[in-house]
Amino acid sequence: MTTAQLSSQTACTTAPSVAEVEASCRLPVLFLAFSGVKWLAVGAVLALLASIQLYNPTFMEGCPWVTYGRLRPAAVNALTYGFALQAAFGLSLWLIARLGRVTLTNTLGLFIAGMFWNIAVTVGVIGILAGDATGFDLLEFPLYAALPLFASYALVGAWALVTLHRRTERDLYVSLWFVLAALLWFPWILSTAQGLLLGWQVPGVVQAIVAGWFANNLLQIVLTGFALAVLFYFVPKTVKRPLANPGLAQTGFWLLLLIGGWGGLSQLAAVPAWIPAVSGAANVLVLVPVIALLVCLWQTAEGKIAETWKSNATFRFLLVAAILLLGVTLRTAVFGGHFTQFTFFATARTDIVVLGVFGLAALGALHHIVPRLTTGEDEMPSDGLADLAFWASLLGVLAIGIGFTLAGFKQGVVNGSAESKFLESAVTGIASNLKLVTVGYGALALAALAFLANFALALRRCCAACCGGAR
Amino acid sequence: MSQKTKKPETESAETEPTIAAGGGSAWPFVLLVVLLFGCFLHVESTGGAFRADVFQAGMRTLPPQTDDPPAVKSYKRGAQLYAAGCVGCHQATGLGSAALNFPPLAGSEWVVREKPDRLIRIMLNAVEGPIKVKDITYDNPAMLAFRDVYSDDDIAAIATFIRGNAEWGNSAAFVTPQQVKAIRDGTAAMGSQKWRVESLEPVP
Repeated sequence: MTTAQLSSQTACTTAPSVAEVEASCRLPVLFLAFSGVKWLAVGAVLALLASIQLYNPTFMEGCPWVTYGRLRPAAVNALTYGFALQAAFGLSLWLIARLGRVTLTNTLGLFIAGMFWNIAVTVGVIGILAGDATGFDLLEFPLYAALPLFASYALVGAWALVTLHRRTERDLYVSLWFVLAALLWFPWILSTAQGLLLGWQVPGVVQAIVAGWFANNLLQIVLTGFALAVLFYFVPKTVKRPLANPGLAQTGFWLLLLIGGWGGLSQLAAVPAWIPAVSGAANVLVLVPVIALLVCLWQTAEGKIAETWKSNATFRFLLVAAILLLGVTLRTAVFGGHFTQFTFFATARTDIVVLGVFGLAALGALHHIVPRLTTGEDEMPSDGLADLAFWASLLGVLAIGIGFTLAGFKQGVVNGSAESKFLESAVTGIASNLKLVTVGYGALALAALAFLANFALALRRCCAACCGGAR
Repeated sequence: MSQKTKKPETESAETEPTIAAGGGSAWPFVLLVVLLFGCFLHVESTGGAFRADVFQAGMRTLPPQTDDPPAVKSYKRGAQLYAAGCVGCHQATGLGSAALNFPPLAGSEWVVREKPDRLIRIMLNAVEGPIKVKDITYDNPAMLAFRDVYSDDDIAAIATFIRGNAEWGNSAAFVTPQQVKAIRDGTAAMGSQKWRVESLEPVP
């Protein structure tokens, strides 16, 4: 205790300036952000190609590398590991450094670990396309990609935690609770699931339970947690008010950790009946922490929402992400039972959480962070490209979510009645919904490219400033 | 691309978000309790009483086991009777023993015929004198007549087991008690006299 106080006191005298903190973030955070959004573009294109095959089965037929069964997992894993988790690591490093008022530990090491993460994701995506997928939802990377992936995460996570430990601002702000929880939760669920599925090789039904448990924890705790960290940091910041009702945030945080991990298995088939029953109950209960956290944010921003929407590019992304968080939780709680079992309805949850809740929150945060770390300004160089990125990503996420959800409902109706014609109603009848999904992925790819172009402009301006226009 | 003039550093970009004083609300816990009640009802009605062997939502116990078909029941009972009364000579493998003069049942042309009539006759009254089974001639008077030992059901069960035993490589059809009863009544005049190969050969 005394040593902690002592170090805290000595540290306070040497707290680095904001400029020093941001300088230490520059290399790893910008690298993780840039390659993360690059994977968003790649994943969206892969998912777009896969979605075309849902209503046009002869599209790209004859080549096993680009069949639906390989393209779709490749796309989902590229979006989850390449985009979402990678961007989350970048945002976490930045939040830890800023909120802890500390320079990052081992920036070069973080950069190299980030590169290895990208190599592992590339190998994994190519492995899936080559036919080596494991067949477990969100864990499709073959072992030769999963192990390096875990190793590079171990380095990123360890250095992030060391940085957090060395912080000079001892009080943990709400965002850091979520960052810390997610940074510790992710290696736990990944090592457990990979160990049981690929190492231990548990039998039959247990595989589905383990994979479902992992996927739900990844979406509900890790990615939603990172999104909430971003929301709790940027909402008070952009509306320029202190966070209202921190006690409510604390309640929401602990309830989310307590309840969130139980959901996600409500649509499993051929498992003992209590598992879907309890999981369905948890899907409903998780509404409580989600609503508590969103109420806390709403109380903070109340009355300044319209004003900030107009003035701040980041806030627009965050507002949509918060609404989507409520929407996706309600949707799973109300319709996540037997009615939508074996339909596209469940597919949409992954997309809405990865691309909508987390993806929009992350893009919003990056529209603040990237200019801070490059040009030193508060906004991206091009307002037009920022607008394009926002509207295209909003349209994309809505189109994907609505398209898959409606298709799922139609399939649910067909599955529930013996009279309806399966092929007519559930396969060819949902083609229009699935075309909407294709449009959505296209819009998302466009949003990613718009952001990357803006990013490149900022980098170019930064280089011009640094090198005196030598380039 | 329009070149923007560098804005002065705004306060929000430099400072971190702060936390307002106070806070804490009870309503999440009230909501939690209300939802928990509904969840308990849901799990109670669809959770299969937390049994590891109940897979169907809404059921609390295993679905009733459907009975085996008569032939399968008969086969299982035949296996028990065989183990009690026949295994001593014909062995658990059904191969008998050429050295000890016990003819085999596995693959025996006397057992796996299309019709069980010869087999039922042998079981009822036994057979004596030389008998050629799978190219080896046996002559063992020790075979017992089971006419007064086993009921029609028992003999049908044993015959079903012997004829249909896949482990022995046999796959002939099952035998019903009615078939046994018909032959028992038809050969009642034989008393305790045993069959000989010559007297069995006209039987289909």
